[in-house]
Amino acid sequence: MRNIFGLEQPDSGHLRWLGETTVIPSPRAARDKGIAMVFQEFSLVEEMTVIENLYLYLGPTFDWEHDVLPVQKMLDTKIKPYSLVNELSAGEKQQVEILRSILISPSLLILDEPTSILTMEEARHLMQTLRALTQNGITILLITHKLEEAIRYSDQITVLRRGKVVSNMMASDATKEKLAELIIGSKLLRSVKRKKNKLRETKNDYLLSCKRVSTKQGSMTNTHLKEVTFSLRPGEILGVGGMAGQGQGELNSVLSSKDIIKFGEIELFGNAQIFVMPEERDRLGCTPNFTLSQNLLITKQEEHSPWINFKSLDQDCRNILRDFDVRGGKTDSQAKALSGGNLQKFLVGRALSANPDVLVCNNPTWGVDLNARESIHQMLSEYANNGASILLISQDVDEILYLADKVTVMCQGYLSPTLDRSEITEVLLGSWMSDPQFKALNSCS
Amino acid sequence: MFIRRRRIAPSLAWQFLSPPLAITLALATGYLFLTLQDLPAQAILLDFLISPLSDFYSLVEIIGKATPLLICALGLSICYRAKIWNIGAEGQFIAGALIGGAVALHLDDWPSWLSLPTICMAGIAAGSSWAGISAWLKVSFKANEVLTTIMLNYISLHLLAWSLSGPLKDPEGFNFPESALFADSVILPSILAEGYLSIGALIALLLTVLLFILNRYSILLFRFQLLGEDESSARFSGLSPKRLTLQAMAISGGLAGLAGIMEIAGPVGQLTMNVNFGFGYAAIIVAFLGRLKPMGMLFASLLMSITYLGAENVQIGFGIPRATTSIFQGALLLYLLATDFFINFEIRIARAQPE
Repeated sequence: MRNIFGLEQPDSGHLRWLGETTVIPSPRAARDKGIAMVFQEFSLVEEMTVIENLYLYLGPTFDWEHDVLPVQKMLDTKIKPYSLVNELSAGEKQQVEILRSILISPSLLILDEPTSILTMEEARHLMQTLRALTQNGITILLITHKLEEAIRYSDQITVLRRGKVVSNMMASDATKEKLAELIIGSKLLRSVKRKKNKLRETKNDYLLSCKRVSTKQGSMTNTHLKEVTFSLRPGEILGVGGMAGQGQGELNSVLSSKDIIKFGEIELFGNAQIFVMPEERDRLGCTPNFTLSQNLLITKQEEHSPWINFKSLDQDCRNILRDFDVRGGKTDSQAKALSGGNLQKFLVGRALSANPDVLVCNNPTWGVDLNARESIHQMLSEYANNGASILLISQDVDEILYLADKVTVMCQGYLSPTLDRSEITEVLLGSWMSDPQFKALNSCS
Repeated sequence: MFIRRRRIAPSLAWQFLSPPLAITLALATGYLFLTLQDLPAQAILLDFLISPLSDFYSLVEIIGKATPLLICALGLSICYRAKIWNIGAEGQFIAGALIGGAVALHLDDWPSWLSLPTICMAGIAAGSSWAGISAWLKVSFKANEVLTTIMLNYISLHLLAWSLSGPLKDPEGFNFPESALFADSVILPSILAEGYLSIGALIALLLTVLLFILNRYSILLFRFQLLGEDESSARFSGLSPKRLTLQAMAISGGLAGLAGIMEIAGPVGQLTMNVNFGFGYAAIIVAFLGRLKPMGMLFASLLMSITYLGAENVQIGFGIPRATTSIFQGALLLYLLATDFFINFEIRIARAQPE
């Protein structure tokens, strides 16, 4: 989508617009061609009024009475021109965004997950409005992970998985089950390779348990947790699946820090150590300009306080490089000099060498090559076999089905009931990812 | 066509090359500037940079002037590593001088071994607190420390002026805005048998070595560096950026305050408005010229000190105003920042883009 709107340029291939091959160098060019986009995150100036925001976008060539009111009528909205944007509700802000997109009379309107922040009622209203817009000759491209929305309101559905078009069909031919299957992919059968872990039955305590944990909404775009409940036994890998941005990041933060406002309780058994691996390795996971030793030191500050013992630090670092087969770097090479796969192996190694009882990892194989992926999976699997438990948060369903003993799904901040891997089907998983009520499907019971 | 490209890793060679290159460019600018005015550029530059090194008295003077520069710069480097842009060494220097000096005026009947450490501690505490104001504003209200530290520089300068025409004025000073001369017991001892070089020079050297060791082995300084390099990482590892900011500013301010009181209770010997202030600003240049590395700053402080003396020389010898120092120092920092570009970027000749 960012390609179409001119925010990014394709590396190969080309775009055709009205039958002609075109290059769209910037969002402004896209607008001139009649392409409007409503982002998932709002691009309104919060401190300004609605009408000022429209001025910013359209220039002073429009008239509220003459131009905006008819569109308001069409959309059935009642936005006041002089209300401040930060006083509007999320739904109203979105209406302003759509309003101003329509005011440039686009022929193509792109909406990225427009209903993710709306209530059910608002969402239904929006969808009906969009449907009505198509009668006026506007083409609408709707990005959504809500299967029902796609089937009910669109004419044509395209399924993308990992950057590839996997299917293109008429909405009338689509069923929820079919879409869910396409989204997950059909590798479910091939991936049941891992031997069942021997759980330490002697010690049947939970290492970590969360009971009805909720967080306060930090910002508009953050998904906050809603009564998340789960527990982890020793030697168990619990996979948390779900689309991106359904609250996984918040779950990670809640487990790692104490300064996030939360309700409910998190209980660590006894003196269990927890190590939380940050989600994005470039941003939080490591400090790219630091050497590998220094990056290791970040997690070992207690041990080296107040004086750093370089001898033992370098030795520990070398051990990680050796034990976890990190190539392309020495203890004194900068983290950014390593390839993504090797860096990730180093980071997993760093986490495991701290010997935590509970490891929380978030997309541990995101963006790494197949070999590294394989060895990271090996590392995690072996670590769990030794009696630790791992909370594996991942958007990669294959990974979860490959590694996890138990599976749960996160959707809009809710966590689904935990199922044993044998109970999971791709259809169930796929539909849970878009259904915060986590209804069991009739067709697969 | 030339294009610039970000280097994969910062160039080590350029890190060492850029200070000498900046010095050369600054000298070239001076040469051009003087030649355009039909002045004997070569002789003046020689007098500016080389003659201060020619006799014992000047050498002592260079070290004496380098002392406050170096101590301030050491403190600043701690802040700059944490990417806290403390521009307030000047104000912290004056705060240390003012409070330390006020204490010194009252302790003239104490024995030296007791009074000197006390007034130095007072100076450190004053500099620390002065920097603490900016740090507190930064962590509580997100006030930009660049602005608050600069503004506090003016406040402390005028506080000093007020004190010298008010509470601290020398009663027998014919109404000059100066304090009484300090008693000998509160003047730092000289480390030379001949001439005066205060023990502060030795302390500066010790602090340099100390910071060199701490930079490598102290977890606290590692944390400052982590904060500067990657704040989110620091926070994720359980550190409090606010606390670290307060700590870094306090240390930095404390060192500037120490430099201030040692200057007053050393070469100057009284509180006066006639002190060559501006050390706090020059220390910023010293810190960057020295690459924030203790040994680098040691050399940079000596170089900067030479420019002060050189300027006096050319004023006497050629009638060129002392303000030339500022021009040279300013040009030096400007060229340094410009040549630093090559540490992270390289210039390549662009080839034709593949279709």
